Amino acid sequence: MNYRLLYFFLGKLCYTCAASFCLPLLLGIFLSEDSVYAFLQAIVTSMCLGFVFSRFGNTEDAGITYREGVAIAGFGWFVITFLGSLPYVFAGILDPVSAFFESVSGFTTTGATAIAQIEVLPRSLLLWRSLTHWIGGIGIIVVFIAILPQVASGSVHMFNAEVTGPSSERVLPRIKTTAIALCKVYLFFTLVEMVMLYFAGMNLFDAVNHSFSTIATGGFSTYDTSVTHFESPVIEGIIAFFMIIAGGNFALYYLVGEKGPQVLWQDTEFKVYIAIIFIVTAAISLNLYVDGYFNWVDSFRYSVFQVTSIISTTGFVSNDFDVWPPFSKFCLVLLMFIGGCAGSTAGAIKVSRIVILTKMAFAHIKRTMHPSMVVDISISGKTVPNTVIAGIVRFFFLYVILFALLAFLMAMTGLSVIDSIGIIAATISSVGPALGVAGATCTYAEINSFGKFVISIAMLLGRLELFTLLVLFRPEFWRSTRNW
Amino acid sequence: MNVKLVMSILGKVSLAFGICLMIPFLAAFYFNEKQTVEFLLPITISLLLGIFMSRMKAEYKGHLSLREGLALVGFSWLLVCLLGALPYLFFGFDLISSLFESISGFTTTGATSINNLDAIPSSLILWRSLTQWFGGLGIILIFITLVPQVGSSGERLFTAELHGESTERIMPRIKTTVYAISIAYMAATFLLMGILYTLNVTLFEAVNYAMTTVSTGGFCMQKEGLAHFNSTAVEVVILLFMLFSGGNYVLYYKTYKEGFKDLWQDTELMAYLSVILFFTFAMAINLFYSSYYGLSQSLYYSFFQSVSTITTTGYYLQNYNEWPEFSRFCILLMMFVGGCAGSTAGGIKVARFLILFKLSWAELKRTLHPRMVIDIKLSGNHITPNMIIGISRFFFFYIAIFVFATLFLSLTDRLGMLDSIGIAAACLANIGPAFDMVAPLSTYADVSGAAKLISCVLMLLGRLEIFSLLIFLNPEFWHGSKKW
Repeated sequence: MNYRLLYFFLGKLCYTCAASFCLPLLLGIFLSEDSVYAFLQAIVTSMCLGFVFSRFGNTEDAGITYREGVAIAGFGWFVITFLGSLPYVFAGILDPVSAFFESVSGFTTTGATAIAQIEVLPRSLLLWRSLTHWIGGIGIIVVFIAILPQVASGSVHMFNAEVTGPSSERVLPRIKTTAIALCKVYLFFTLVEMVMLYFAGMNLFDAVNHSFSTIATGGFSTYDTSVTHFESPVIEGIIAFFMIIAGGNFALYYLVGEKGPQVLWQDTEFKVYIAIIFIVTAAISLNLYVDGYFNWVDSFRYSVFQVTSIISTTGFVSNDFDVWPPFSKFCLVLLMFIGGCAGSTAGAIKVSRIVILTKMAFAHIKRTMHPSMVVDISISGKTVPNTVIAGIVRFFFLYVILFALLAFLMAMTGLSVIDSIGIIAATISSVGPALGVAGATCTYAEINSFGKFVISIAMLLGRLELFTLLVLFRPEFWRSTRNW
Repeated sequence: MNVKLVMSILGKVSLAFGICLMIPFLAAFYFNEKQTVEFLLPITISLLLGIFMSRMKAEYKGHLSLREGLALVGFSWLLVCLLGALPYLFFGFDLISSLFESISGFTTTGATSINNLDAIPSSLILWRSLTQWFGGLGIILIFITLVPQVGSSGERLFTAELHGESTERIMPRIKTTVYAISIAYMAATFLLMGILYTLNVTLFEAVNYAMTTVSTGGFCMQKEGLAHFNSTAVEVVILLFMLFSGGNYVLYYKTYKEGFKDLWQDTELMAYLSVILFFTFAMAINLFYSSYYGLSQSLYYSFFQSVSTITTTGYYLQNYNEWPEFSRFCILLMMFVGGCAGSTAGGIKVARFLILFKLSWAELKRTLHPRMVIDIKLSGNHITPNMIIGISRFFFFYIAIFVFATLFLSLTDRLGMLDSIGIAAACLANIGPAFDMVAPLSTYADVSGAAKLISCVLMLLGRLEIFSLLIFLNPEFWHGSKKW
C-alpha cells in the first residue's frame, strides 16, 4: 500500500476543501453574515490538517493500483465529510452528529436534510450546503469514471467509454485528461441550467443553488418545501430535464461531443433508462388520475417530475407524494432501487446492472431447457464477460442484504416498518426524501442520533458502491505483499 | 415432448387423487354428516379424468427427458390444486376462494379464506388438513428425488449428495432415500398425533394438527389458533415438531445411517438454529423493554414466533401484529429467510443465504486478486459454479417477483403498503398470515378476488421454487426442437 501517495492525495483534498470554503466565505462577507467566522475557522482547520498530511505525502512512487484507489476514495470521503461538517458546527446550527449527517448527505449527493427550518439559515451556509452537493458530484464522476476503471478492470463497468489502462506509468496522465474532460461537461450543464432557471423566474441565488443541486443529483433546496415552493411548471420542467441528463452517463456525453448524438441511441443502458422513465411516469399518472387525485395535466406534471427526481436519485419534491396511493409510492420506492445510469452522479443499483441481471435471469430460463447451452449476455453490442456478471450478481445480493441490515438497525430506533424501509431505501440510494416520518414534506431533524449515524453509513455505503467501503474490511487489503 | 406419456402419468396422478378423496368421504359417513354428495362428485370427476388420461398409449423409453419432467412437476401441481378445489366449490364457496384454499393447502401455506371455521363440517376440515399433509409429502418427494434426477435448475443443495455415482447406481439409491424420507415424514406425523392425544387433545384435533404441523403448513381449526388448547405442553410439542420439519430430511436420513456427528457438522443446520436464536433474543428484548410481557413470556412468545415464521408454518400464540414495530420488522425479515433446504419449509432457504454470503466475502477478496479462483464449500461439500449461478439467479428472481407482486397487490382494493408487502412475502414463502389486513386472528376472506389470485400465483411460485413454473413462459418449451 502506497501510503505516501495516499497522504499526498488526502493533503490535496484538505487544501481543496479549504479553497472551496472561500466561496461561501465571500458571500458571507458580502452579505455581512455572522457565519463568516464559522467559515474562517473551518478554513484554518482544513489548512492545518492538509499541512499535516502533506508532510507525509509525496508522489515519488506514482504506482497506483486498486488498493490505493480504494483507500483514496474511502478515506478521502471520511476526511472531506468531516471537514464539511465544520461550518454547521462552528455556526452553532447543528450538533456534531447532525452536522456530520448534513455533510455526508451533501457530499454523497443524497439531499436528506437534518435541518428543521432551512429558510432561516444564513445564505452563506445555504450556499455551502449546495456546494457540497456539487463538489460531491464531481468527486463521484472523477473517482468512478476517471480513476477506478484505469486501475481495476472488472470492478467498475463503463461499457461505452471504457478506456482500458495499459501499464501504470501512463495511467496517471490518462486519468488527468479524462477527469478534466468530464469536469468540463459537468460545468457546462450547471451553467446552462443556472441561466435557464434565472430566466424562468428564479432569483440568482436560488438558480445557482438549485443547479448545483440538480447536476449533482443531490436534492438540497433553499426552501423547506423544496421545489413545491415555486409552484411553477416551467421551473419544474427545466429541473426535470436536467435531472434526466444528470442521471445519464457523463462519459457518454463526452463521447457525444466527439462523435455525435447517435452514441446515445446505441447505448442500451441509456435507452432502458429513458424507457423506464416513460413507463413509470405513465403508470403513476394513470394511478393518480384514476384514483381522483389530480386532473390529467397535473397527474402527468407531478408524476414526471417525481419519477425523474427519484430515478436520478436527486430527491427534489414538487408535490407531497407521501399522500399518493400505495401503488404510486411503491413505484417510487422501486425507482429508488433502480437508480440512474452508471457514470452519472446518481446512486442505487444502476440501470446497467439491472439490465444485465434481467438478461442473465432470462437466459437461465432458456438454459433450463438446454443445460449445456452457452448464453452470451451483451450490452450495447459488446459481450459482458462472466467475471463482470458474477460481480454484478454479488453486488445485487450485498445491496439487498445491507439494505435489510440497515433497515433492521433503523427499526431499532422505534420507527415503523414502512418508515424504516423507506428511509434506508432513500438514503442508501442517495435519493433523500422517503416516506412517513422522513417523508416528502418532512426533514430528518427528528430522528435520534443513532438513527442519523446509521443513515450516514447507509449514504456512504451506497455512494461508494458497497465494495469500495467493504473491501476495507478484508485483512488482505492492509497487508503489503511483494508479489504485486 | 412425449405428450402422451405426460398425460398418462397425469392420469395416474388423478386416479391417486380420487382415492385420497375417499378419506374425507368416509369421514363424512363416520361423523354422520349429510355432505356426502359434495365429496362424491369430486371423486367421480377425478377417477373419470384419471381413467381417461391413463388410457393414452404411450411409449415409455425408460427415463423422463428434462422437458417431460418439468411438465410433469408443473402440471401435476396445477391439476392437484384444481381438483382439490372441487370439494370447497361443492360446499358453496366461490370459485376464487375455493382455488385459494386448495392452493394454500397443497403449497403448505396455511392462509385461509374461511372466516367462520366452526360452520364447516369436520370432513371438510379433515380434507383441508390432508391437502397440507400431502403437499408437504409431495415437496419432499419431488424436490429431493425427482428434481436432481431431471436436473431442472441444476441445483443440489443437499448435504447427503449422491455424488460420484454412475446413473445405474443412482436409481436404487434414490429409491431407498425416497422410502426412508417418506417413512420419516409419516413417522413424525404419527408420533405427533400420539403425543397430542396423550396431552388430552381430542383424536380428531390431534390428527389434523399433526398433519398441518409436520408439513409446516399452518392451517388451524379455530380462528384463535393454538391458543384454543390453553396448554403450554401442546404448544411446546408443536414447536418442537415445527423445528424438526424445518430441517433437512435428507440430513436426518444420513444421521440415521451414519450417526449424530453429521448433525453437528452440518453448517446449514447450525445456521438455521442460530438465526432462530438471534431473532428470538432480538424480539424478546424488544418486547420486554417495551413492557409488552414479562421476561419469560417475552422469550417464549418470540421463540415460538421465530420458529413458526422461519419454518414458514405460520402458527401464532399471540397477535404479533400488535407487537412493537421492531419485532414486526424482525418477523418480516424472517419471512424471507425460510427453512433448510430439503425440508417442507419455503422461503429462500438458509443454505442459499450461506452460500451467497460466503461468495460475497470471497468476491471482496477477488477485487484485490482478480485472477483468484473461488472455491466455496458447505459442510465439506464442494459447491459447483453451476450451483452458484443457479442460487444467484434464484435470489434475484425471488426478490424481483416479490417486488412486482407487491406492486400489483397495491393496485387492488383496500390494500395499503404494509398489507401488500406482508401478503407478498408471506405467500411467496408459504407462511400464511402476515400483517394488518391478514394479521393473526384475521383471514384472507376480506381480501379482494384479484389479490387472492395474485396470492395463488405467489404461493405456487414459491412452493415450486419458481423455475419449474417459469419454464412454462419459454415458448421453446411448447414448440420444441428436433435436437431433443
